[in-house]
Amino acid sequence: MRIFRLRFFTQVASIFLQNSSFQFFTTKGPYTGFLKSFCSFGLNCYSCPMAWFSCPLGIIQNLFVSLRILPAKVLIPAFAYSLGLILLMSLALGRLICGWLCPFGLLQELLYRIPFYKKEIALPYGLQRYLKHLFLAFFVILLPILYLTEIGYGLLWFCKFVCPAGTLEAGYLNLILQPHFTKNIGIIFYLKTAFLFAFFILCIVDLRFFCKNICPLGLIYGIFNKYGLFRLRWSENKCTLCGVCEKICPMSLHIPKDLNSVECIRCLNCLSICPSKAISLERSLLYHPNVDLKSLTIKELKYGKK
Amino acid sequence: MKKFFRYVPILLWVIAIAAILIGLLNTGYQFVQSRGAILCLSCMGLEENEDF
Repeated sequence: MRIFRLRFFTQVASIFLQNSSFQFFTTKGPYTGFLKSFCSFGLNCYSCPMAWFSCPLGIIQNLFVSLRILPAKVLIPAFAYSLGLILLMSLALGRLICGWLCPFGLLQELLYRIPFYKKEIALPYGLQRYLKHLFLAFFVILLPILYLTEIGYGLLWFCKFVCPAGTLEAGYLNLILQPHFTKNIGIIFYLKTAFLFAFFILCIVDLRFFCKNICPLGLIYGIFNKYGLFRLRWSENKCTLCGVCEKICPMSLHIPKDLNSVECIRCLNCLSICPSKAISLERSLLYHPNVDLKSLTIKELKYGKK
Repeated sequence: MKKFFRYVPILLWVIAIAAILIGLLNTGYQFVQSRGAILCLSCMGLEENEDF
């Protein structure tokens, strides 16, 4: 149980470390210094009055928006630096960021503690697995590139229309601290607020609903789960197939086949709960594929595939 | 082929570090800093206002 507490304290510390710039109270603007040239861990809006770092998802959208505007000599270094930074974070930590450092991840876990109706929400037509791929493809990449406003500049589609972290951290906090912004409230703000409350309700019902189904940043980190520095390893000899790891997994994964899948947020609940220590955390620069378990779940291993 | 996949992570690390260095040497970090330093109305869900 020690790991649950350690993770909770790390998540709380991460929120404070990423959002402790109190410069706002003197300058009435966000922090603009050197640290803003680094990306934050997880979904943490750079327009939050107290944010030290830039949101990686916002930066990716800004890159694609600038694709048709900026000259190549500015664009190429910007792409190289930003994507290099995100790749480095993905390789070094992968979705460990989602499980241990993302402020919005912690918020979802706290919301799930509210006593209310609980159910694993299954989206129809295979959307369960691919909805965040669609958000990444359309809202983060294609629409910012293809759609131009009348002033010839694209929109940050995910930030503008979806991102609940932006609505909460930047929208509401700035409105409270700078009330003159209320005259900028329009239909989009109400739409984003509706999304925010919808996500809240869905996260109360289903643990980390946003991470499971919507978050494009989690998907980017997750792609490198297999190749990152930290990988989970399942030992066939030690496993007693008790299935307790599947019950405790916040992402409802089938273990061991999904151990290093895109969905695994590296919360390490399975590792800490396993009575036979069959799951371990491996740190290696080289890729070692685990035992081939592509289509088996614990139940199928135990009772045979039907 | 399997041997090649073993070294894919190292290749990705090299690409990441090289990309960051290229970006740093050509002031690519300024793009991130300039975008991250603004109070983005889009992110806040607010709309541009001529009076603003």
